[in-house]
Amino acid sequence: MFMPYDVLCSLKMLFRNKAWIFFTFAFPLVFFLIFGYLLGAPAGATTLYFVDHDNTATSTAFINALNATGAVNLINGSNMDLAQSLKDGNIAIYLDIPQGFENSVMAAKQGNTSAENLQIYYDRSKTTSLATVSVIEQVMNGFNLKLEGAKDVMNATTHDEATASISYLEFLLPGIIGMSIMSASLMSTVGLSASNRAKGVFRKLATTPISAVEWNAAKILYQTIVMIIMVALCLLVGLLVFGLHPTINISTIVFVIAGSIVFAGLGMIIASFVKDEEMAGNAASIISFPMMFLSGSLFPVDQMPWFLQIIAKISPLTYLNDGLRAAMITGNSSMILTSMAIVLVLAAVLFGIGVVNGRTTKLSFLSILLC
Amino acid sequence: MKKYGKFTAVDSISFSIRRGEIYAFLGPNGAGKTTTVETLECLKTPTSGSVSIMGYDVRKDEMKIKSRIGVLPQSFSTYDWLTVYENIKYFGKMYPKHADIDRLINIFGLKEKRNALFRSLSGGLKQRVGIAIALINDPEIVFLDEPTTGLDPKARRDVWAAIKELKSHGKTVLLTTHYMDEAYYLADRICIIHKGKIIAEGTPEDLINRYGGGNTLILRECSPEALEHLAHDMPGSRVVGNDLQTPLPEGNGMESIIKAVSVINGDKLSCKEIYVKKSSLEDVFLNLTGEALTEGVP
Repeated sequence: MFMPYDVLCSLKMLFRNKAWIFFTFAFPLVFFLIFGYLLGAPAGATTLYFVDHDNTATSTAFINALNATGAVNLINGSNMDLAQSLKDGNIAIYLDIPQGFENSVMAAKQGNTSAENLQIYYDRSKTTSLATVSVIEQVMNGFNLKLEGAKDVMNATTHDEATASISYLEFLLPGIIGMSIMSASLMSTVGLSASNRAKGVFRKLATTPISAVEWNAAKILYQTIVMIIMVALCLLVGLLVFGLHPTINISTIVFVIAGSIVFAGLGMIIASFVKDEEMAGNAASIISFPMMFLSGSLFPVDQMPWFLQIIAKISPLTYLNDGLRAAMITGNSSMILTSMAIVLVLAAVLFGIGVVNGRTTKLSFLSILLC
Repeated sequence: MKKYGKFTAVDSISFSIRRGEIYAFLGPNGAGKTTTVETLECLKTPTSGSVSIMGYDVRKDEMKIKSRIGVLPQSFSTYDWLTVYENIKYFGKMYPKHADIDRLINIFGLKEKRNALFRSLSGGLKQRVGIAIALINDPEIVFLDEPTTGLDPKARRDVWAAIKELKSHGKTVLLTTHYMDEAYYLADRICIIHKGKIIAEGTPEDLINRYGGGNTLILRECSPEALEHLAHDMPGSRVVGNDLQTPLPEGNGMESIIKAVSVINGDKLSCKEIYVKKSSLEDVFLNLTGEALTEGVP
């Protein structure tokens, strides 16, 4: 039986070569950790520092109203140099309630003068600061209306469904898995095809009775095993480091296997065009690098400029990522079905071209069929 | 015949190989040697003509042929990160039955390297692993395509010993090479290929006798005076630099040698050395094609 021994040998070779191990397993995990820590910080309440120089019922009521929104995490900064902290970039925003705030509010209510202003100091470069400003403004509007004795006529209840259901980390996990399937499958297929050709292994295979079907099946089985190990590692890191609990079901597995075949096919096509071993590796990097960043693995596609979105549309990885994300996180069944259909068609077409191309150019093991 | 577009790689060649012999295709790079053997190995389909091997047609019976041949492809090297044993076993698994791996390892002197990674082996040892792999299915015919290209002299000797080993095990060996010394040392019969055609076939001695142009008497590093005298007295001789070369008539070389010695002795002339150069396959090729087989050799 050739297949089990081939898979065993392939695994032995993988685990004996530290560079391959790193590239196959550590590389995606490093990406996962870096992007997870960089962009995956919990998007909960932002911190608002305040100084209350007024210390009256009105100023306290205002602070309490801010606190009641739950949108900000209030910290009293009376004994801190908030102006300096802001300059130093240590804080994003602070609120200064000037002395005489209550008195001026009362005066304004009686007469036509407007009240002493609340002072908001913020750092525009910090994205959370603007959101906090708007929270303060809303609370202020509420106060104004109450002071005018107005009655709430219009009310809106907001439902923050999208961000509540999928955080960046949940977005990232399937993206990292898709990206690693792409890079590991593409790189190993291109690398193996190029080196097997250079070493005369394909020529040798073609003189033995082994069939192309059996050889290919062995390679796909091996690739699937490697991918399952890789996915398991990603899930483990996701669970232990980021506390993620994605869904693993049959469609997840179908995406993992079909994705491997898609990029194995693409790898065979690249290897058949670029004959030099080193050049083939470079070509694979040139193709996989933009795919990594532009296919919704690390950043959502719809937040990219239109011309990059076009690249995302033609990248096979986009559909694999969409599918994995739907299967593992959102459970959007129509997205699962659409993506699966696209990925399966891509797998059939790219692998088919890879096979036929290999046969006609006699560059791969499939030249066996020609004899 | 094998054509690639308009280029005819091998044109109407005909040859037969006997069981148990080492048969060498000798010719320069691009002569059509590899195309010829790859046709026999079912790697290439002939454009026209028929090729049969062990009674099987290469167009119809490739599976039967493949199970009975063993091939060492040109510049073959197997998996770097597998051991010698694993590499041989790997190819063994491609056949329904395979020979005993450790026996092959012993035959080719690889016992000490049995569990060494292929990447750690020297060029000569790598090539011996390749030959062991070619024997894994206990084939009747072994094809060795340029088995010593790129090896140092010591490694070449090692590989040659391994090839001689094949013959002693009763294998028929089909060798391609562009080294005439390799063909001379190893082959029972040689087939010289040039531009896709067979230009001569026979045992090494037979070819040399027929086309080598006989032996040549060489007088090296002679003084100008000596060259003048000798060129005058030795019929058919020619001066090449400071040397004098005289073709020796077949079967009657002694007369010329005695004459040359007596001329030098009688006239007290000075020559550094005197020897008879036997003609080689190199001369055979030069005489047949007007071209040197090896670059740099006149």
